Amino acid sequence: MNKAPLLFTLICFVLYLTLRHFTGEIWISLLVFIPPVGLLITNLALRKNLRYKSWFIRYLGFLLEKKEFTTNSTISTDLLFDKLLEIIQDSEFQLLDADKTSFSLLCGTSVNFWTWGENIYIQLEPGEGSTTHLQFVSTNLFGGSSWNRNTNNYSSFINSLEDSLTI
Amino acid sequence: MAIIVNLDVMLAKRKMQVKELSEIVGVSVVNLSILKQSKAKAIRFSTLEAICKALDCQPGDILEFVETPNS
Repeated sequence: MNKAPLLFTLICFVLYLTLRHFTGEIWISLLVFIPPVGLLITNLALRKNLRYKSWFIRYLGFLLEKKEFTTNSTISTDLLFDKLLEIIQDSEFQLLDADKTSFSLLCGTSVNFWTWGENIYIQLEPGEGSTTHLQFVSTNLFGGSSWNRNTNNYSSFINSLEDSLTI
Repeated sequence: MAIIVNLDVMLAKRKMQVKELSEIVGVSVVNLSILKQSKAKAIRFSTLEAICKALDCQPGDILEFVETPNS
Protein backbone atom coordinates (compact mmCIF):
# COMPACT_ATOMS: atom_id res chain seq x y z
CA MET A 1 0.00 0.00 0.00
CA ASN A 2 1.18 3.49 -0.87
CA LYS A 3 1.91 5.37 2.39
CA ALA A 4 2.10 8.89 0.91
CA PRO A 5 -1.68 9.59 0.86
CA LEU A 6 -2.03 8.44 4.46
CA LEU A 7 0.80 10.78 5.46
CA PHE A 8 -0.83 13.57 3.41
CA THR A 9 -4.17 13.01 5.22
CA LEU A 10 -2.47 12.93 8.64
CA ILE A 11 -0.62 16.20 7.90
CA CYS A 12 -3.92 17.84 6.87
CA PHE A 13 -5.60 16.60 10.03
CA VAL A 14 -2.77 17.77 12.32
CA LEU A 15 -2.78 21.16 10.57
CA TYR A 16 -6.54 21.35 11.04
CA LEU A 17 -6.25 20.65 14.78
CA THR A 18 -3.35 23.10 15.18
CA LEU A 19 -5.16 25.91 13.36
CA ARG A 20 -8.34 25.22 15.26
CA HIS A 21 -6.46 25.31 18.57
CA PHE A 22 -4.65 28.60 17.86
CA THR A 23 -7.35 30.50 15.95
CA GLY A 24 -10.47 29.03 17.52
CA GLU A 25 -12.18 29.48 14.15
CA ILE A 26 -13.52 26.27 12.65
CA TRP A 27 -13.98 27.85 9.19
CA ILE A 28 -10.35 28.95 8.94
CA SER A 29 -9.26 25.50 10.04
CA LEU A 30 -11.38 23.86 7.36
CA LEU A 31 -9.29 25.67 4.71
CA VAL A 32 -6.71 22.94 5.30
CA PHE A 33 -8.97 20.52 3.47
CA ILE A 34 -9.07 22.65 0.33
CA PRO A 35 -5.93 20.99 -1.19
CA PRO A 36 -7.23 17.38 -1.00
CA VAL A 37 -10.71 18.33 -2.18
CA GLY A 38 -9.18 20.48 -4.92
CA LEU A 39 -7.00 17.57 -5.96
CA LEU A 40 -10.01 15.29 -6.23
CA ILE A 41 -11.96 17.81 -8.30
CA THR A 42 -8.93 18.35 -10.56
CA ASN A 43 -8.51 14.61 -11.04
CA LEU A 44 -12.18 14.14 -11.89
CA ALA A 45 -11.93 16.97 -14.42
CA LEU A 46 -8.75 15.68 -16.06
CA ARG A 47 -9.58 11.99 -16.09
CA LYS A 48 -11.31 11.83 -19.46
CA ASN A 49 -8.40 12.87 -21.66
CA LEU A 50 -5.34 10.91 -22.73
CA ARG A 51 -3.35 14.16 -22.74
CA TYR A 52 -3.19 14.07 -18.93
CA LYS A 53 -1.88 10.52 -18.68
CA SER A 54 1.43 11.69 -17.24
CA TRP A 55 -0.41 13.67 -14.53
CA PHE A 56 -1.87 10.45 -13.14
CA ILE A 57 1.02 8.14 -13.93
CA ARG A 58 4.10 10.25 -13.32
CA TYR A 59 3.44 13.50 -11.44
CA LEU A 60 0.72 12.28 -9.12
CA GLY A 61 1.96 8.71 -9.06
CA PHE A 62 3.25 8.93 -5.50
CA LEU A 63 -0.22 9.87 -4.19
CA LEU A 64 -2.25 7.29 -6.08
CA GLU A 65 -2.09 3.54 -6.22
CA LYS A 66 -1.35 2.30 -9.69
CA LYS A 67 -0.78 -1.21 -10.98
CA GLU A 68 1.03 -1.95 -14.19
CA PHE A 69 0.73 -5.18 -16.15
CA THR A 70 2.23 -6.18 -19.46
CA THR A 71 1.41 -8.98 -21.86
CA ASN A 72 2.08 -9.94 -25.45
CA SER A 73 -0.39 -10.78 -28.17
CA THR A 74 0.08 -12.52 -31.49
CA ILE A 75 -2.48 -10.18 -33.07
CA SER A 76 -1.07 -7.24 -35.03
CA THR A 77 -1.16 -3.81 -33.34
CA ASP A 78 -3.63 -2.25 -35.75
CA LEU A 79 -6.09 -5.13 -35.48
CA LEU A 80 -5.69 -5.47 -31.71
CA PHE A 81 -6.48 -1.76 -31.29
CA ASP A 82 -9.80 -2.21 -33.11
CA LYS A 83 -10.45 -5.40 -31.17
CA LEU A 84 -9.87 -3.64 -27.85
CA LEU A 85 -12.31 -0.90 -28.82
CA GLU A 86 -14.96 -3.60 -29.35
CA ILE A 87 -14.09 -5.33 -26.09
CA ILE A 88 -14.26 -2.13 -24.05
CA GLN A 89 -17.64 -1.21 -25.53
CA ASP A 90 -19.01 -4.60 -24.48
CA SER A 91 -17.40 -4.58 -21.03
CA GLU A 92 -18.00 -2.89 -17.69
CA PHE A 93 -15.43 -0.23 -18.60
CA GLN A 94 -16.30 3.06 -20.27
CA LEU A 95 -14.21 4.23 -23.19
CA LEU A 96 -13.04 7.75 -22.35
CA ASP A 97 -10.49 8.49 -25.07
CA ALA A 98 -8.64 6.73 -27.87
CA ASP A 99 -5.80 7.69 -30.18
CA LYS A 100 -5.05 5.30 -33.03
CA THR A 101 -1.93 7.14 -34.17
CA SER A 102 -0.17 6.36 -30.89
CA PHE A 103 -2.19 3.17 -30.21
CA SER A 104 -3.31 4.54 -26.85
CA LEU A 105 -6.60 3.86 -25.12
CA LEU A 106 -8.12 5.36 -22.01
CA CYS A 107 -11.07 3.80 -20.28
CA GLY A 108 -12.45 4.05 -16.80
CA THR A 109 -14.73 2.56 -14.23
CA SER A 110 -17.69 4.48 -12.93
CA VAL A 111 -17.94 6.33 -9.62
CA ASN A 112 -19.92 4.54 -6.94
CA PHE A 113 -20.29 4.46 -3.17
CA TRP A 114 -16.97 2.62 -2.74
CA THR A 115 -14.73 4.35 -5.24
CA TRP A 116 -14.14 7.54 -7.19
CA GLY A 117 -13.43 5.27 -10.15
CA GLU A 118 -10.22 4.10 -11.75
CA ASN A 119 -8.53 5.18 -14.94
CA ILE A 120 -7.14 2.48 -17.20
CA TYR A 121 -4.43 3.37 -19.70
CA ILE A 122 -3.73 0.81 -22.41
CA GLN A 123 -0.69 1.27 -24.60
CA LEU A 124 0.03 -0.95 -27.59
CA GLU A 125 3.45 -1.25 -29.16
CA PRO A 126 4.41 -3.33 -32.18
CA GLY A 127 6.62 -6.25 -31.24
CA GLU A 128 8.64 -8.67 -33.32
CA GLY A 129 6.90 -9.89 -36.46
CA SER A 130 3.20 -9.17 -36.19
CA THR A 131 3.07 -9.43 -32.41
CA THR A 132 2.01 -6.65 -30.08
CA HIS A 133 3.24 -5.62 -26.67
CA LEU A 134 0.35 -4.52 -24.45
CA GLN A 135 0.85 -2.34 -21.40
CA PHE A 136 -2.08 -1.98 -19.00
CA VAL A 137 -1.98 0.60 -16.20
CA SER A 138 -4.87 0.95 -13.79
CA THR A 139 -4.81 3.87 -11.35
CA ASN A 140 -7.32 5.11 -8.84
CA LEU A 141 -8.31 8.77 -8.89
CA PHE A 142 -7.99 9.49 -5.18
CA GLY A 143 -6.35 7.74 -2.27
CA GLY A 144 -3.49 5.38 -1.76
CA SER A 145 -5.34 2.11 -1.93
CA SER A 146 -7.64 0.81 -4.59
CA TRP A 147 -8.64 -2.15 -2.36
CA ASN A 148 -7.50 -4.53 -5.11
CA ARG A 149 -9.72 -2.93 -7.75
CA ASN A 150 -6.71 -2.19 -9.99
CA THR A 151 -5.77 -5.87 -10.08
CA ASN A 152 -9.41 -6.90 -10.55
CA ASN A 153 -9.68 -4.50 -13.50
CA TYR A 154 -6.78 -6.24 -15.21
CA SER A 155 -8.23 -9.72 -14.54
CA SER A 156 -11.58 -8.62 -15.92
CA PHE A 157 -9.94 -7.07 -18.99
CA ILE A 158 -7.82 -10.14 -19.75
CA ASN A 159 -10.84 -12.44 -19.32
CA SER A 160 -12.85 -10.28 -21.72
CA LEU A 161 -9.98 -10.36 -24.23
CA GLU A 162 -9.63 -14.16 -23.98
CA ASP A 163 -13.39 -14.72 -24.25
CA SER A 164 -13.63 -12.47 -27.27
CA LEU A 165 -11.14 -14.63 -29.16
CA THR A 166 -13.80 -17.33 -29.41
CA ILE A 167 -15.51 -16.20 -32.56
CA MET B 1 -0.21 -23.32 -36.19
CA ALA B 2 -1.72 -26.70 -37.07
CA ILE B 3 -5.15 -25.47 -38.07
CA ILE B 4 -5.09 -23.06 -40.99
CA VAL B 5 -8.08 -20.85 -41.73
CA ASN B 6 -8.56 -20.48 -45.48
CA LEU B 7 -11.23 -17.82 -45.22
CA ASP B 8 -9.35 -15.42 -47.49
CA VAL B 9 -9.12 -18.12 -50.18
CA MET B 10 -12.86 -18.78 -50.04
CA LEU B 11 -13.61 -15.05 -50.05
CA ALA B 12 -11.46 -14.63 -53.15
CA LYS B 13 -13.19 -17.60 -54.84
CA ARG B 14 -16.61 -16.10 -54.11
CA LYS B 15 -15.37 -12.58 -54.97
CA MET B 16 -16.67 -11.34 -51.66
CA GLN B 17 -15.26 -8.65 -49.34
CA VAL B 18 -14.80 -9.21 -45.61
CA LYS B 19 -17.22 -6.35 -44.93
CA GLU B 20 -19.89 -8.01 -47.04
CA LEU B 21 -19.42 -11.33 -45.25
CA SER B 22 -19.51 -9.52 -41.93
CA GLU B 23 -22.92 -8.06 -42.74
CA ILE B 24 -24.32 -11.42 -43.86
CA VAL B 25 -22.90 -13.47 -40.99
CA GLY B 26 -23.33 -10.89 -38.23
CA VAL B 27 -19.73 -11.12 -37.05
CA SER B 28 -17.68 -7.94 -36.89
CA VAL B 29 -14.99 -7.20 -39.50
CA VAL B 30 -12.39 -7.21 -36.71
CA ASN B 31 -13.39 -10.71 -35.61
CA LEU B 32 -13.40 -11.99 -39.18
CA SER B 33 -9.95 -10.50 -39.72
CA ILE B 34 -8.69 -12.23 -36.56
CA LEU B 35 -10.22 -15.48 -37.78
CA LYS B 36 -8.72 -14.99 -41.24
CA GLN B 37 -5.26 -14.57 -39.73
CA SER B 38 -5.71 -17.78 -37.68
CA LYS B 39 -5.37 -15.77 -34.45
CA ALA B 40 -8.71 -16.82 -32.96
CA LYS B 41 -8.72 -19.16 -29.98
CA ALA B 42 -11.82 -21.05 -31.07
CA ILE B 43 -14.70 -20.89 -33.51
CA ARG B 44 -18.34 -21.47 -32.60
CA PHE B 45 -20.32 -23.98 -34.64
CA SER B 46 -22.93 -21.25 -35.18
CA THR B 47 -20.28 -18.95 -36.71
CA LEU B 48 -18.91 -21.75 -38.87
CA GLU B 49 -22.41 -22.64 -40.03
CA ALA B 50 -23.18 -19.02 -40.91
CA ILE B 51 -19.90 -18.62 -42.84
CA CYS B 52 -20.45 -21.90 -44.74
CA LYS B 53 -23.99 -20.80 -45.60
CA ALA B 54 -22.84 -17.37 -46.78
CA LEU B 55 -19.93 -18.72 -48.84
CA ASP B 56 -21.80 -21.85 -49.96
CA CYS B 57 -19.00 -24.15 -48.88
CA GLN B 58 -18.09 -26.91 -46.44
CA PRO B 59 -16.24 -26.45 -43.11
CA GLY B 60 -13.31 -28.29 -44.69
CA ASP B 61 -13.01 -25.56 -47.29
CA ILE B 62 -12.38 -23.04 -44.53
CA LEU B 63 -10.42 -25.06 -41.99
CA GLU B 64 -7.38 -27.12 -42.87
CA PHE B 65 -5.11 -29.24 -40.70
CA VAL B 66 -1.44 -28.87 -41.53
CA GLU B 67 1.00 -31.10 -39.73
CA THR B 68 3.88 -29.15 -38.23
CA PRO B 69 6.94 -30.61 -36.44
CA ASN B 70 5.72 -29.37 -33.03
CA SER B 71 2.08 -30.45 -33.39
